[in-house]
Amino acid sequence: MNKDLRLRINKPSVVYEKFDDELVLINLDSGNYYSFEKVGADIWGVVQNGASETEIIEEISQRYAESLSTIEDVVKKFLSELKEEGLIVPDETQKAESTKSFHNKNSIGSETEKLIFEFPVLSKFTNMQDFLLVDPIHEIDYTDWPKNKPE
Amino acid sequence: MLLSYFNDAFKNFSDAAKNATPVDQYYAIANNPVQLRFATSRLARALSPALEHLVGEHVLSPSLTVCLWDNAAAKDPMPPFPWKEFAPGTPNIESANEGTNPVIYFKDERIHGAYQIGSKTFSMLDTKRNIALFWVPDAGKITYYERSSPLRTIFQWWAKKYSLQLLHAGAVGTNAGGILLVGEGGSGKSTTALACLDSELFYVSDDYCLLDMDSHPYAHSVYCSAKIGREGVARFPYLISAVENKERLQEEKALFFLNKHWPKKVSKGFSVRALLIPRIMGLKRTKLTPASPRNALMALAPSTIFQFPGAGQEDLTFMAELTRCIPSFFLELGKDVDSIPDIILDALSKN
Repeated sequence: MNKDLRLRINKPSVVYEKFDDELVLINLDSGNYYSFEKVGADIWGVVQNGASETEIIEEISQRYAESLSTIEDVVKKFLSELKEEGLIVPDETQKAESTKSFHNKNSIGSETEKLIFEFPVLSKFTNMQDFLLVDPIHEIDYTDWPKNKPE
Repeated sequence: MLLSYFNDAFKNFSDAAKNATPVDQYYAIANNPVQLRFATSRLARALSPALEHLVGEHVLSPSLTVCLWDNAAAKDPMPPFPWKEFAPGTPNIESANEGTNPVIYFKDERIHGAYQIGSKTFSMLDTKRNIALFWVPDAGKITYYERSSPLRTIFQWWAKKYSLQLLHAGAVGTNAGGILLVGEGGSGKSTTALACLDSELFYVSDDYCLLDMDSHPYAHSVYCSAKIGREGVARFPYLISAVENKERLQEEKALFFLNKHWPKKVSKGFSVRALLIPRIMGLKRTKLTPASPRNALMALAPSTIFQFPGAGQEDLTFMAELTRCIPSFFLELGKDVDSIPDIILDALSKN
């Protein structure tokens, strides 16, 4: 994937709420919901501002005390998980501009004490799918429905 | 296009009502007058008991009129469903993947519509005229869960107009305040709510209630019904005589209309002071442990959102606001079900 292509949250299919440094996300299409915190929530915040993979890595490396190569590996892996779950998608309409600032107001500069880096963990919950499946409201039967209009 | 379909379906109802003896009933739902216009008394008998505690006065201008009918009453069949014109992938259809979603939902700037595939119920709301339509193929085959919480899809859409949110939550409490029970099906909401029947706590719901966040969270009762599995009935022997569907307990949960048997125990609502997340732990003793707003939202939001067609970010934000403004606890359910009311009363006295 193009590292300079901006990413965006997959709205309106994905809805989310933030609690301090924790996030709760629901994918309305898949029926799955998720949570993650700290570094994961920070990565999400940068995606929310419309950043590319390169820019996200840069931003996270400014905030956290960890080697750039580790941050690069971890961020790439986390973004890949978010994409796989349909939570974020490439924003084909927006190419990253080298001069455009995506930094949010909480961005921490290099002169500030950096935070301890913890590997982000995407917790995934699929029990709503199970709930829908065990619920009696799942069998498809159009027996009593009138026929569709002819073409 | 949807308005045109709405009008065709409304004509189908009007013909059905002319063909039969319609029954008009009025209710006060979250203090708003609502008229239910049943095309037949059979339909009224099936769907009205769950709302019996909210029966209100006849009003000339209800905030919502719901027209209900079935094929038995209709002279002509229902107009063919409009989803051919609103195929998956078109902007007007929110969810049409029948393989994974039991609801087909469609809307435009004025009309909401949903077909619940399993229960074969069709709901539409015209938000401009405050008229809703509810159709089932056969009033005699309405499912027990539809009888338990009728019209919830329509109420959910309509409630938005009054800044109310239909929640998948139980609620018990006193006149001074109560708690919401949040969690997916099977988490223990009904067991907890029914365990409180034999106490000084009042019952607002075991599954759905309307929440008002105007000044302080306030839970309005919508349904006086309760559903519980067979093993649950055995746990509460005083419920046995009240089971509505005794002959079908092999395949259905036991259904009760509490207003019929314990009218003084059913409350129309109270302010909400805490969120409880029941968890069946199999412990010796039931206890409360602190939970975070995130824990509460995770318990409340997915099961609410996935049950209500069209629910999305606005609903999640509403629920998040609730979890931020009152404390949350895990209710770790033990084998001592009898102790639940005292634990809830204790929590209420401290919050």
